[in-house]
Amino acid sequence: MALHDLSVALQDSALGQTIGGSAWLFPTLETIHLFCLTTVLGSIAIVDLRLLGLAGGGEPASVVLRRYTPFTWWAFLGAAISGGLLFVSRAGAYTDLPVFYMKLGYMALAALNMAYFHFFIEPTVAAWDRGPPATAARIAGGLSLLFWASVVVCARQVGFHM
Amino acid sequence: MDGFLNWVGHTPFSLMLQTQAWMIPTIQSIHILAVALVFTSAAVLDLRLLGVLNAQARLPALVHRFAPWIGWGVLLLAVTGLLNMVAEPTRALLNHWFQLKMLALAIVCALTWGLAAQIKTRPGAWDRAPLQAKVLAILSLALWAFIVTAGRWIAYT
Repeated sequence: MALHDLSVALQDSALGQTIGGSAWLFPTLETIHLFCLTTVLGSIAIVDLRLLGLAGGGEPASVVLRRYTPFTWWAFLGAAISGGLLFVSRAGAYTDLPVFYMKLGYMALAALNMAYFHFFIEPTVAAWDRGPPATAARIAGGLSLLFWASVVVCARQVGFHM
Repeated sequence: MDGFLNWVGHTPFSLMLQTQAWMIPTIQSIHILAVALVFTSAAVLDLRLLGVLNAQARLPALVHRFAPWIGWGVLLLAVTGLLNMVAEPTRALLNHWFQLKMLALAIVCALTWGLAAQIKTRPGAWDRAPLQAKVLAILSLALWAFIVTAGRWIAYT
């Protein structure tokens, strides 16, 4: 299978061998990954709870979005880099795990939800910036929480099968 | 101690946690989600004390909003962490990373509780003490960072 051969080649690369062969690199990258993913989850949860109208109602939704989403983006970048390096070191094992693809699937759903919100719901923010959030914004916030929590649940499963 | 841990590991409840394959990963997933809640809420308060984020917002309002998330989150962490320990009693209690993690947790909880209590009685106190506020914020961030790091390294010692 082409994907399997490719992932084994990645794992056998100099980078993969360096990370996989080191006693401290893998756990250090895991720790960085953990910091990044908790920051992604926490910052997006603040935004999602505001979109759901459950917390942070004292401030306009647009202010909450502007203040906390940069943390989500930078932390996601860090999670992607650290996660990519973890992946390279054991690529052959990850690509054999169904739950690893589920994790990627939930990330894709979260991305689609975020894109839909950004292009179609956020432009209408002036109408619900201070009052109760629009139904569409509530749905986007709820789905975002659900998808990101699912990413974490799948990610923990991935770690268990390593 | 070894005898006690061995006994815990053979109780019906511990054996149930060990034999249901989905239990431990699910408990740990909830633990990680609670870490996200607590770490982010603490970071929001610490970044405000440092004057980096929410600089225009009043500190008492932010403490009122985010401190309960830290309190309930730590409770959730304690429950899920305890369930983990019942399932694998020899893994954590004798581990030095775990012991240091608990020490750091006790200190940071006392600091956070002290801050919240002081804000309640004297709402303006920390706005007039920028240096102490910054020292407290850096200490709190460092302790939380250590707690998360130590938690991960328990698995490797």
